[in-house]
Amino acid sequence: MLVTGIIVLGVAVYAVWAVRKIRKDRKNGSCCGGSCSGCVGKEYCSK
Amino acid sequence: MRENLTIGFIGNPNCGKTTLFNAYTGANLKVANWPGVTVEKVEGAIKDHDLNIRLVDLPGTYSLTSYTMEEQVSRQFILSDEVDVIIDVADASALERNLYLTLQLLELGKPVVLALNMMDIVEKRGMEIDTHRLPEMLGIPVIPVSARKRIGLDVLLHAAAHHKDCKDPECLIHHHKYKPKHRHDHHSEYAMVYSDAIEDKIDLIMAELKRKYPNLTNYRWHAIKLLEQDKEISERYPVSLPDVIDRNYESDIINEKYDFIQEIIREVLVNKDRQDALTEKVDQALTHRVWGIPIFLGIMAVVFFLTFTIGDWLKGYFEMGIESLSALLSDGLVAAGVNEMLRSLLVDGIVAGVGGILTFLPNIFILFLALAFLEDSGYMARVAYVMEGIMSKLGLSGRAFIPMILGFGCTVPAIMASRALENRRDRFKVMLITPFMSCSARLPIYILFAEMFFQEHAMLVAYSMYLIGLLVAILVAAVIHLIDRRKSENYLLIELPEYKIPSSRTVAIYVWEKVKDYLTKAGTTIFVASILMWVILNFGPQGYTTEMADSFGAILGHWLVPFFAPIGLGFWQIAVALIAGISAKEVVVSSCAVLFGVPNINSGAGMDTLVGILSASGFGQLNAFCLMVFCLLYIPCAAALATIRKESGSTRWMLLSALFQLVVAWVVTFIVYRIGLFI
Repeated sequence: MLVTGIIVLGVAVYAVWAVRKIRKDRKNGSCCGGSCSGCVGKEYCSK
Repeated sequence: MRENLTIGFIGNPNCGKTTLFNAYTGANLKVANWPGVTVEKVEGAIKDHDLNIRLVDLPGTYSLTSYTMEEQVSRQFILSDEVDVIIDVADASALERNLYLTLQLLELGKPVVLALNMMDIVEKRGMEIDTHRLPEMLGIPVIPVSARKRIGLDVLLHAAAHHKDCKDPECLIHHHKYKPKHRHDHHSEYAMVYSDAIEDKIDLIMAELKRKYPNLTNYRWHAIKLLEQDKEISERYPVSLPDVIDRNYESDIINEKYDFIQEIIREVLVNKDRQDALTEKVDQALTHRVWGIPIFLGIMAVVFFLTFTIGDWLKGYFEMGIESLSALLSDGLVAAGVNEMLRSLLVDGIVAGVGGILTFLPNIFILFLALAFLEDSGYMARVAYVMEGIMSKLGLSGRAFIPMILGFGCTVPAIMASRALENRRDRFKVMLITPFMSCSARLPIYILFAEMFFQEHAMLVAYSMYLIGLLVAILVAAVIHLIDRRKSENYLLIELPEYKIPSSRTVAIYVWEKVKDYLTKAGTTIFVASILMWVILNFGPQGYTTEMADSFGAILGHWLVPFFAPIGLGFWQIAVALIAGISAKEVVVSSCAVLFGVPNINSGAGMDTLVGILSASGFGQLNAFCLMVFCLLYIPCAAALATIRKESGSTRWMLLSALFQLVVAWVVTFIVYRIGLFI
């Protein structure tokens, strides 16, 4: 039960982080293949 | 406490500016866009000489007019208070061409240091540059460097740090050995002094500017721009001097600058005519009128061959790793008594999905390594020249082929590269056809299905996808040109750099960026897509189900089957995988792993299992080929769509683009399928 709970929590936390990263990249611009489109000023694409 | 210093790097394209910039910053880059425009801005930061140094890589440009966004952005940045020193990177082996930008930079009135790059090539050719006379004639420090061999970098930075306060004429060490020919004797103040007629006009305009705009700085530069009838300056600082600015003096000013450049070259350059014989010989073959294109196709075939052979050999080790991890995880979870549903999510969902994509990393690595090699060697510029003939028949310039080549790597930078086209109509045309070029994300789909259904012909089949994509792009461009007969106003003017051995550091940084991006995509988009895929395939109207046929995914898939059936893809699992592939093309493969319940889809056993399952449903070679063609041509991934929206400035255009690609994909696949059935 404990193991199940830890795994579920771990997957959930990672999934939330992944979705936030995807949204952050899309908000700043679109990044793929080492290039980013649309990032402006201080909002840098994560590299 | 450390002081701050901002250095801007500027130079002609192919002068080695990026190599030099990377030599200082390594891979520690931040990439953004300049505010309000879609021109890329690259920044790095280092600490040196008790200074926090911010390095800004300005776009490669031949001049500082206001015709293109790159030039405008560079000019505005230099004129702003943001930058302290400019490092003008010049290709020393093509000094004559590079000095035009230098003279323009000197007129901007900011501290400039000239970095003579590629000095190793100068030495190899037996040329010599008088590096004592050149600073005397330009009035700025001149530092010989070789970014590739990392020579002179510390000296350059030292010079920039110490030159940052040199704005006053006293800092110029400039004297002619000739008696000045002009009435005006500004030679102790400025490197570039024009003829008397032009200097008279500059003086009059400067006087008027001082009267009308007392807070302006650098009157001389503004006066020169007004004489050139520079659009931006004329609008911002108009003056009423019709007798003085009686016409456009731009060509006069350019000619006088080049006269001065000739004077400089005569004085400082020895043995200037020793061109690189090897480059000339190689170009005779690679840019041959008839053989140029077949050679290009041959080189791309070699790239593909390497991607398949070396990539597949390395892939084997990744597959073993993923297989072991999957088995270990499954056994461990069983031993820990973990719930069966959770075990399925982890093993059949996440590990199958993400692991399936990670095994293709070696192929992606080899592909980008080969493309980086071709780019840095100087060959890619030749491709634009070689394709000029075909592109002009399609109403485009050869320069439009550069985004298309970049599309072999990734559609996002390819679409961004369309910014280089000055004509808006051409930019939109290129944005429409570039997604047809097969990007690296589709490679896993080709490798998987080609190896499963075509075995020894797998590489040929996968290579044919690249040719089909190129052909469709050209055909679509031709049709658009037939409808809209206006010829492109972009004439091809492109510099063909000397061939050189690619810099290992530049190639390594480039490939590392791509690999990092691939891993990030696997860890984010593919991860989330795999979980979503697992959820829709294991949950149905009755809740959790182990029978996939009862899941939401199956219901959705069955709805879509009538759309895909006429093109040989009437299988609900394939339909679901293709929808999922809109998030990222690699998801088609990871979805298949989840959809068909094959954990290690790339292993020999995994592929055999998948072939068995597919064949049992009537999915054969023709269907596999149709699937690859459809994946090649249909809606680009979400990142590419977002890029199209950003670059075009229109959501409507993005949606039209996506619909257009879907229709083309369906029609072409339909034709292929019907021909296949007939054969």
